[in-house]
Amino acid sequence: MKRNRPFRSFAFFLALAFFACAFSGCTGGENRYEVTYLSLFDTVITIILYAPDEAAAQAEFQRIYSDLARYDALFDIYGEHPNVTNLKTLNDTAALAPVQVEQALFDLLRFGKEAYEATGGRVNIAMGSVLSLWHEARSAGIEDPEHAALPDMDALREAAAHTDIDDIILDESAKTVYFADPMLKLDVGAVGKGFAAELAAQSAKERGVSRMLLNLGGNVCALGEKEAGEPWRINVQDPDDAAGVLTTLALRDASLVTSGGYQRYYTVGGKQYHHIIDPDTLMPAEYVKAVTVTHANSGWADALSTALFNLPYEEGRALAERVGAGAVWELNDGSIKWLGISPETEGSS
Amino acid sequence: MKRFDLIIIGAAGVIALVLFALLRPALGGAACAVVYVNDAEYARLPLDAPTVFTVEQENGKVNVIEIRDGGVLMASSSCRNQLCVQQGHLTTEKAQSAALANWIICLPNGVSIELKEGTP
Repeated sequence: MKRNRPFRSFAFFLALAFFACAFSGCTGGENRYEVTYLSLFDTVITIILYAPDEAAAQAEFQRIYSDLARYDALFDIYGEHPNVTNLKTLNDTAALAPVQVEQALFDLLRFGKEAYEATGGRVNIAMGSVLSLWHEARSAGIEDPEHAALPDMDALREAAAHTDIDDIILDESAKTVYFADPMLKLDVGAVGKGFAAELAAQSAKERGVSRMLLNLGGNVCALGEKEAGEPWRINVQDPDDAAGVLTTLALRDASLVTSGGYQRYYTVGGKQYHHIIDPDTLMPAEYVKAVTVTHANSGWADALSTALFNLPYEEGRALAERVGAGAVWELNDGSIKWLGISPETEGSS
Repeated sequence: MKRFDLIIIGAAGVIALVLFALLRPALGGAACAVVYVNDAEYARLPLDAPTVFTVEQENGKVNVIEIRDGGVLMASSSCRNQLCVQQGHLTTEKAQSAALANWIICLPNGVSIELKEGTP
């Protein structure tokens, strides 16, 4: 009897702890923390993660921010950064002689080539010279809407002659990049953010983060589940209504990316021209209204969403099936098509 | 297992339930809108007190945030794209509908609003 007493009080507290946890819905003693940054990649970054306390969460936010700041500098085509060989450095000098780059940038370019192969050229990181003409026309048109104009078609065609992906020469052993075409320019807009999100999420996972949602400008990358048996729930915006929700999707250990023409655009002669350029017509793609892709890898989700936006629905569906991606399209007539995923309706966040 | 053990476990359950009921209001608290300017916290506005709150930055950027009907909205913004204004009225119910649904963000002006549970 005497020997049993310590055991009894232990059992009492154990039971107390069990019930306390059961009633409060706590999961492994971790709390949810959330932060948003507006200072990187010219976009919105939101991180939600679970950590034992505020200090641990802030430390992890800081590490993820540092990683993303690094990739933001490396994948920048417009700005120079001290002591960083980035995409702007390559665009300025890689046609003169091979340029050595660090691993993450080399891996991004190799991934860009793989994405070109897998999508039959619907995603092309060598299209920088074409995209820069659109970028200039769009920036000028937003600045001065009265005089907004389309880029000159002859200039676009001339630029399109310098977009051969095989002219990007990667040397695996020397980790160098060389452009065989002096007019070629890189633009990783279709893959850069997804690739960066994947790298940052994998680093966080290696540090022991098991439940996290990283939103890098609409590239939403999920580690694990929100809670045991309960997935992360993500709203997909209605292209016709900024306050509306097209559908809600469940996400666990996967990424989701939406491509649409409704956020980054400018207006010429009453018509909207968005930023996703069809490599064939050199004009904004108009095959579908919007498409959302889910894939285990954030880089692939990003690349495939651009590829599917640049393809008629049937061809896009065949591509998504081939690579094992989930997708939901809103077609131009407003109808919704599903592949491999279905809407999430029950529960709450 | 002896009957006494069952009583003890039962008592622990009852005590936990009572504690939870007592502490619940403190855990939940009133919802508020947290305003951030250039990634730093700027203000906390309780949702149960209707107000109009203006963020004026030195660079001339202006955002007007309004608390009403138990939610928050960007009433106006000096930004070009107006995506923040188009997001409309954000309620706690809408904020809880999905992850990431609890933010109104004005990227050009560097102003973001997080709808948050907890005392301001």
